Amino acid sequence: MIEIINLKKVYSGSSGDILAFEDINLNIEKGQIFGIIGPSGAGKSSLIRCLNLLEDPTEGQVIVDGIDLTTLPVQKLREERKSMGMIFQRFNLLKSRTVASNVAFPMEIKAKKKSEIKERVKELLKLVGLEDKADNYPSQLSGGQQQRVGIARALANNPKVLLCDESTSALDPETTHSILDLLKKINEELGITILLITHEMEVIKEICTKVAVLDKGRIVEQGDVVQIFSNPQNPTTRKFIERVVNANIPDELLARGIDLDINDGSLVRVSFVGVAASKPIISSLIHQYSLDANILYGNIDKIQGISFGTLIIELTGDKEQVSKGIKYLSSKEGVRVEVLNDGRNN
Amino acid sequence: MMEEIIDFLLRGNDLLWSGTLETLYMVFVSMILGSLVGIPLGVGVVVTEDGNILESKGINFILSTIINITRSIPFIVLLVALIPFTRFIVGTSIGTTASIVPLTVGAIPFIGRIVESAIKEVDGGVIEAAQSMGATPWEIVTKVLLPESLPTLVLGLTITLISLIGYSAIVGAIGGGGLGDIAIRYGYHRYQTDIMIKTIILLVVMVQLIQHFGNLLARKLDRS
Repeated sequence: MIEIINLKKVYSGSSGDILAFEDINLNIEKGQIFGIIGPSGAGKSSLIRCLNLLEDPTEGQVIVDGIDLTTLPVQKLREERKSMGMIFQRFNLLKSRTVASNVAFPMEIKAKKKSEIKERVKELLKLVGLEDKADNYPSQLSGGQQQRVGIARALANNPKVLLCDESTSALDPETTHSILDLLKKINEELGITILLITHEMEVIKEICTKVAVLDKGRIVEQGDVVQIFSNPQNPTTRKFIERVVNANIPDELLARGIDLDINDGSLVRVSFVGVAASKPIISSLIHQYSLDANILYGNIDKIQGISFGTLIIELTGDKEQVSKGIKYLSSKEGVRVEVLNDGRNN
Repeated sequence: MMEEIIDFLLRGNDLLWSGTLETLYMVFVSMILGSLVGIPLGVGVVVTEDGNILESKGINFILSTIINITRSIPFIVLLVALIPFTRFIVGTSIGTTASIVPLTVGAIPFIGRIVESAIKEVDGGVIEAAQSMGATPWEIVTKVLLPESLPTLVLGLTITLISLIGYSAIVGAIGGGGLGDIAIRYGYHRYQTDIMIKTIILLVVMVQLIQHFGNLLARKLDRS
């Protein structure tokens, strides 16, 4: 649906050129929810603006549904934009227009009939759950409601693609959740391809099927969300994932891993994905190697219906057996072991 | 109450009544004519700026130069300098209709600046949203920039209207008609202090009313 080839953006200013991003190659298939995550300053906003050419890429191609947008004359480009919806971090609604009139706006631009617009506005407000707010002004709505208006507006002309620019970053966690649910519903029911950029791994975890990690203007890693979560390769990716997965690990516990003084045990972090999460691995470990396992922390989460968890355990027992135990854990599919403190050297 | 005051000021005094009407006529007509040129001028300056929807260095330079030059000429000088032009357009340089010419020319850059600053306040994100929907520059101007800045525009145009009342008195000084003319001819040259005071009261009331309704309208239009 969206193919991005060798995309590069350079801002030239009086104080020299600034590279926003380069070598961006992505292929977003129809019906996917594709997330691009990166720290602030990674070039995310510039990237998403280059996809509907709100900003001109310096090099490369953006092909949407077989049409290369970068070569289109301006009128044709405007026509193509009508089949791409976009929502924004700060909603960007017209404050002089009512909710219904805001949703009608893109259809006015497409010169649709008044009766048709009225009908469609009703339909859209129902879809986003704001039928009773049709005559309100944006300033009378909460952030979450405003973003719903933004979504209704973006869907007005039945777009093939929905671009989401940090669309939940200005919202509280609960509202974020409800907006993400709405996006998922739109994706499933209307089959609209969604491309979103965010700096929140929670967003990726909750709705994306594919993810690309952008850091310092380059894509450092991309793939299935589950695969990236279970086996991140790049340090930036790891940082993002740890923020979500370790969200509940008390700091003292992580700190304790460094200056550990308990017995002569080894402190290990075990991450597991999929089937591994449902097998009694720890139990077998204890029996087979006659070790003591003290579970200091544990959590389990689901991403795209696949279990995903972390345990921090302290293993005590014969040093050789501990080594064997760790090897045993590592050998299991879907399990990753990280020794936080090695008691075997004590 | 208000009627009583107006009655006191104008009763048996056709002079002041017709002066009031003349002032209103001059000011409103030049306001409308000035807006017809000033609004496009202000919009033009903004949209041709660097990075805006119709970026054009050349046009931007020309338009801002027009505003800057006309803005820097003191009104009384502009008034005199325009006499041949006024005579060419209206056929005379004396009287209320003739006054409309310099008032309009004076109003144009004033309105241009006000429109410029009002439109610049429109959130760039909203413009971006309209662009992302495939809006043309014309649609962005008419459906986004002007409606979104309307409350600010109304306040700015109220200020213009009040300034034009001030300018109209200056035109009055060289035979332009209106309340300013009366104040100078009767109040100053003939020492009729009562007429001077009455014109002052009338002008103050006029300005107050315009400001009041301007504020009211702006508040009614403001949805933020």
